[in-house]
Formats: sequence, structure tokens, C-alpha cells
Amino acid sequence: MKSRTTITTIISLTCALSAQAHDPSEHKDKKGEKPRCEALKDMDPEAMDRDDPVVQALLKKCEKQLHRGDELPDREEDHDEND
Amino acid sequence: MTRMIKWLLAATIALAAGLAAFIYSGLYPIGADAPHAAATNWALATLRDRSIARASRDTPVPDLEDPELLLSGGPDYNDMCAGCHLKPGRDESDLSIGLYPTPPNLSKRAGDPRHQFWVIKHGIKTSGMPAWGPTHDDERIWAMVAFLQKLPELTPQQYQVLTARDSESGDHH
Repeated sequence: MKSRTTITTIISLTCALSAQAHDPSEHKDKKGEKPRCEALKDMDPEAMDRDDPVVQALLKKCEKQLHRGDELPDREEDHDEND
Repeated sequence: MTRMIKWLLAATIALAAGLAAFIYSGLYPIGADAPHAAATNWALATLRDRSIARASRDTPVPDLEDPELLLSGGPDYNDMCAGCHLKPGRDESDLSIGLYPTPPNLSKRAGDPRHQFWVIKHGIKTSGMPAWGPTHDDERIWAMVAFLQKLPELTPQQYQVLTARDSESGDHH
């Protein structure tokens, strides 16, 4: 009887402690809000420093949305090169 | 000399007894809506700041300029921190108003990355700041620190994009 209680306690504790382990996937479905990439269109291309990690992260995050038709704001020199 | 020692001993015992009596009396206003006296506030804030500075001084800081860190740290910040520490375009929340001491608004000013890492990992006693270390590895905490370093310069729109945990752009953890 005593050993059964001990085993039950160990199993309960193991379950409880493993439930506390924080897996990144726990956040995965939280809100599920899509990035509103249209905000990138409002950014001034002149002022956009493409070496800036923030700009790089924004472009990377919006890669798929922008490739589906929405264009990235091009810099002036990019226009010139294409002209 | 012996008499003085006796007096000092008696005073110490009386002080300890008075302190114990006060603690047991329940007279201390423990409510978060009853602010500390200025001296207590100073002592606790200094204790906190000095402790964090000493404990984190030898922490090596990794390269925080990797955009991937922003992409993984941003959603974590939004889920775990923004409720208290706010975000661009939001100056207060129920938690930032109700907590005491008031949580710092991290969208206004970037702090020392070593301090930020240590506080996220270890938390701060009796402040409402939890220790995320037991459930989050160092790499994930540094990603949040990288995001914190850029947070004050983000617009609300940029914040939304970087913190959205959408399934389409992939999980950046």
C-alpha cells in the first residue's frame, strides 16, 4: 500500500513538473495575429537602412506577404537602376 | 565598558522584540496601493539596483544585432512582458497601473543588456517580476534582450509586425 502511494506520488510529481517545462510551441497558437506588412509601405525608402537589424527583421517577417503581390518600398537608387 | 555592552545588548534585544511585535501585529500596510515611505523606497531601489549590477557585471553579452533574435524575441516579449512593461503607442495598462513598484516602461528607454538578461532570467523578489530562467533557456532570453534593445526605436506598426506570432512566416524559435 505504502509503495503504491509512493509510486503514485512520484508519477504525479513527474507530470506536474513536466507540465511546468516551457516549450516555445506553447506560444505558437497564441492570438495567431498576422503581421500587418502594409505598414512597411509607409516607411520612407530613403530613410530605410537595410543594414539595420530592425529593417532586416521586418523585411524577413513580411517576405511571404510581400512576395504575394505587395511590393517592397524601393530606394531611389533602385528606381534609377531600373530606369 | 561592561555596562555599555549590557545597554547595547538590551537595546538590540528590545529592538528585535519590537520588530517582531510589529511583524506579528499585522499593522504593516501590505497593500500595493499604499506606497513606501521615501526612505524605504530608496533603500529597496538601491538594494535592487546594486544587487543586479553586481550579479550581472561579468555576464558576457553575445552579438545582439542578428535580426533573427528580434524575430524570436519579439513575440516572446509581446506574450510575456508587454502587459506590464508596455509597448510603443501604449503608456499604461491595468497591470502597469496596479503593480507596485510600477514596472518600468521598456518601450521608452533601452537599459543595460546584462542587467536585462539577469532580471529576465532571475526575476526580482516581491516585485511581480518572475524568473523566466527555469522555463526559458539563455538563448531565448538573449533574444528578448536583443528585442528590448531595439524596442524604444520601434513604431507601433513595426512592433506589430515584429511581434506577430503568425503561422505563415514560420516559428522563429
